[in-house]
Amino acid sequence: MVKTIHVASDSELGHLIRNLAEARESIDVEVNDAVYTLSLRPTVDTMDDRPPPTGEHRLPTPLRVLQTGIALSRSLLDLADDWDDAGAAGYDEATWHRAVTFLVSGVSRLWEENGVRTERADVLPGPRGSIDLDWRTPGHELLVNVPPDPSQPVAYYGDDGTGGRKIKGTLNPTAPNRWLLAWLAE
Amino acid sequence: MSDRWPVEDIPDTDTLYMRVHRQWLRDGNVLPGCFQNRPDEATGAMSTDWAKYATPNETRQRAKRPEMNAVIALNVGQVRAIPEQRVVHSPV
Repeated sequence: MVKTIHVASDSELGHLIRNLAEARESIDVEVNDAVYTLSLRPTVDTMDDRPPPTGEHRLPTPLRVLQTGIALSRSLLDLADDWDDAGAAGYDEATWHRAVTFLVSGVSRLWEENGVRTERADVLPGPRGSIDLDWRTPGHELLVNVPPDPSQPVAYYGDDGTGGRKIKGTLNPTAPNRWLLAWLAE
Repeated sequence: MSDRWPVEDIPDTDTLYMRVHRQWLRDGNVLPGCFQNRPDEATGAMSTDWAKYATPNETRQRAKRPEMNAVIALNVGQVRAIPEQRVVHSPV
């Protein structure tokens, strides 16, 4: 039987698991006299641990039209510091990965749990090495800013596409954020 | 503040020109991340040209790679209407 244990992202175990996920390796954990092998396994119940088996970010079939743009956004990683000749910072793969994981997971859950199709899901260059996400559903537009420092909160701003019904604040991208999906589904 | 040039008041009705690298453009719109304070500015600000002293082409030509940049026009009054935004003359 599979059981999901939630681990705080800023805990030692959280860092260990994140490093494991990035390295795509298994590690041995010694607990008293027993040794347990910890290996990466995709899960389906949280927004942050949903990497598909190949390590590629994949969307449900009805949303595959968004897949190409998301995959092409990886080209942001080719932008070195001062890429705009005005001092703009380059982008780390870890930042891009956090942003895309949040977006793909959220877009997938919004479809699967609320039946709401995302119209646009753009991964964009942000200020100071951060990644911006532009997430649009019928009647809603959400801008999310994922900073390069994972300990910093993720900022968001949303409205109805015409500047009305605004929401603004910060969120934890590794939390389920069901309230956010509910707002996008309204 | 410059020792060589007097600091002037910029009227709300005037225009500012700002270079925008093409990576900051999507579908004809400027991405929000473009508007950030720049590390090369002593005051931690965005640098623009005052239309009183520059043309859009002059602004573009001051880029390291002009062909990679567009120029946008900003109304001073509308910029000042954004919370916590100021527009001050800082001649160089």
